[in-house]
Amino acid sequence: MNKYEGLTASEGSAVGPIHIIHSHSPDLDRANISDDQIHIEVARYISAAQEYELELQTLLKKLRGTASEIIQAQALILQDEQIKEEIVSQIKKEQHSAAIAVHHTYSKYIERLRDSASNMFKQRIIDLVTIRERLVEWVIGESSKKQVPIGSIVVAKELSPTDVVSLVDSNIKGIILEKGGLTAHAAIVAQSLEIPCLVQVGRFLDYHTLDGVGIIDGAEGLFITNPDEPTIQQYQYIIEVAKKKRQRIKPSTSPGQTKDGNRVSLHANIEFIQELDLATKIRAEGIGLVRTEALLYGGITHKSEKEQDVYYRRLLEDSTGPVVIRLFDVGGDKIHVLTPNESNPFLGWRGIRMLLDEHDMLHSQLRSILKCAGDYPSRIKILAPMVTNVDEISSLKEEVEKVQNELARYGHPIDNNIPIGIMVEVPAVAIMADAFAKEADFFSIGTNDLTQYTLAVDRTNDQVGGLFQHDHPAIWLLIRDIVTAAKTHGIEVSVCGELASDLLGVSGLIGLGLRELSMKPSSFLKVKGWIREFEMSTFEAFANDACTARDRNEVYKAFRKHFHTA
Amino acid sequence: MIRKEVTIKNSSGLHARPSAALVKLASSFSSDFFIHMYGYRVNGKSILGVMTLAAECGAEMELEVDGSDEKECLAAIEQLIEDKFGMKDE
Repeated sequence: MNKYEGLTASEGSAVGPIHIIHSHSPDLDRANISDDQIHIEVARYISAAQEYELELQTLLKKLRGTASEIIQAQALILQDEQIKEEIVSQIKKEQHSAAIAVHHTYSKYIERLRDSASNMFKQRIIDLVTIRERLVEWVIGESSKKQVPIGSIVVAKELSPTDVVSLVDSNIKGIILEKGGLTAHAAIVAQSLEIPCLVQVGRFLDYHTLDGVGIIDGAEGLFITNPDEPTIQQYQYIIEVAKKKRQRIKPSTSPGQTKDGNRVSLHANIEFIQELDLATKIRAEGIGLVRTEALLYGGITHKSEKEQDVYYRRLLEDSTGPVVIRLFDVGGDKIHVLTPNESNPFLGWRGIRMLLDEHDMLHSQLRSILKCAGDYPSRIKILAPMVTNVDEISSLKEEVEKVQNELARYGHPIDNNIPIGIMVEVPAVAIMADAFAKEADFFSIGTNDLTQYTLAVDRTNDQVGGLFQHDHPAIWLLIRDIVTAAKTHGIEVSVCGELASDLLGVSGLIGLGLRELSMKPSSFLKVKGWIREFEMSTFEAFANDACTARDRNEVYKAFRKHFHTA
Repeated sequence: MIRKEVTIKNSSGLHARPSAALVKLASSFSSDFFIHMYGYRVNGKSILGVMTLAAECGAEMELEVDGSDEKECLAAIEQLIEDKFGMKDE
């Protein structure tokens, strides 16, 4: 029995068979791997060769005669000890990725054959090329596209949103990430789907021993491998008890308001239709943020408009209250569908910048949303991501008008007053909030990116992850200015970042005057209970201190002082 | 260690399937097995090594076998080559 320590990114415990996913395809151009990747790359190559061989063996059963002999020879080449040694030693000594090592080694033999004069042998080259290409495919993750067994605990270095989306369909029990932070995209999705998830387990993982059943202990932040039978039973009991407890929780019908009766409207962030269930159960007053990027992950460019139509329609049907739909926010840590290789994607072609360049993509999304808005008048709001210049808002409004006119011409009902707001996630917008408040119909503060851009910290970078502090005084000061500008110009302002999910964050936000918060559904009841416990003056006093604190420690000290928490 | 000169006799030479047969046979012995040809020395238990010799019909090569069962190993390999790898000529 081995125990690995990690951070609990999504609560809960799980027991299930371990399934390793080698995500993040190594780039064939990429030069070297780091020391700690060597064993992973070796394991990646060996398992790829095994998978490929298995595929050949399956094929062999269907073949006879010469064809079968050729495939047998291919299998033999795969098993070739010499080539295995050469590839492994290239990974170890040259620090090449498995894909590059496979490619180089096979290429060497292919070149040798090519140099030989005989035509007969030149014809054999194709066999080697076939093996090389197939093996590289297996190595760089064709194998990871295989179905994940239902009910698995998935172990991966990190997971892209694409991976997470496909995992949701496999009904996985838990996720173990070698890297990742508590606010990584995968972690956020895991929370909202109530899938237990540990991150930063990496330093300790020994892939060779990962096999059989694994256990996630969310309470202790432990990943247990090779558990004995009593341990498995113990955890199954814990999981069963937690499940019963959850079923007994009755969402309170009491409104979101402070002890002295100040209303705070509470909404849910969602990405998948499956999450609407939970949002309804907890009685969210609306959907404060719909992330639409998942619509893009499935396809190479974008899902057909029809599929988008179905998605938005179900969204509106299965929810109540306002629904804020954020336009495709592709780029940065999200998947790069169209983006070229950028050395700094977070500062690159993403959000509204890309949408205004890619008219077809923008128009198809707008058409789909606006059709739905016509059928469900005054429920949909459109949110533009990554705005940094005022004229981006007017450009977007022009495009919306074009699409509305087009729909009207075809006799489709339209919602003429559909609000168009912006994400406030770039410091420039917060600093010039006045100017933006004149153009935008509402503000939605994205505290994750706002923190990242303000503090110059990449939250997915383990080395500096600790500097990612969304409760840093600088963030409080920016939010204060944003709220003031919104109030001056009479537009709505809400927060949809992680800050609205933790109790310190919620306290500061309410104290600064926010009356609308949107959060992941799993934090909803906790936040609502907290708000109802204190008076507005307490929140305000804390917010005041948070804005004058000299660092995060002072913010924490003030929090403890005002809320008497340990 | 023993060495022996041999000539490839089957019409298609040491291409994939004959190479596979040779490697399979050699791997069933504990002795090390190398083939010398055109100044190359390749591992006779590696199908890629053998294949890339591109030995055609009539090619001459030197077999090098070293180990406790070297005599049996060499005899079996010679027999295989003599039998044209058990293949009908194509």
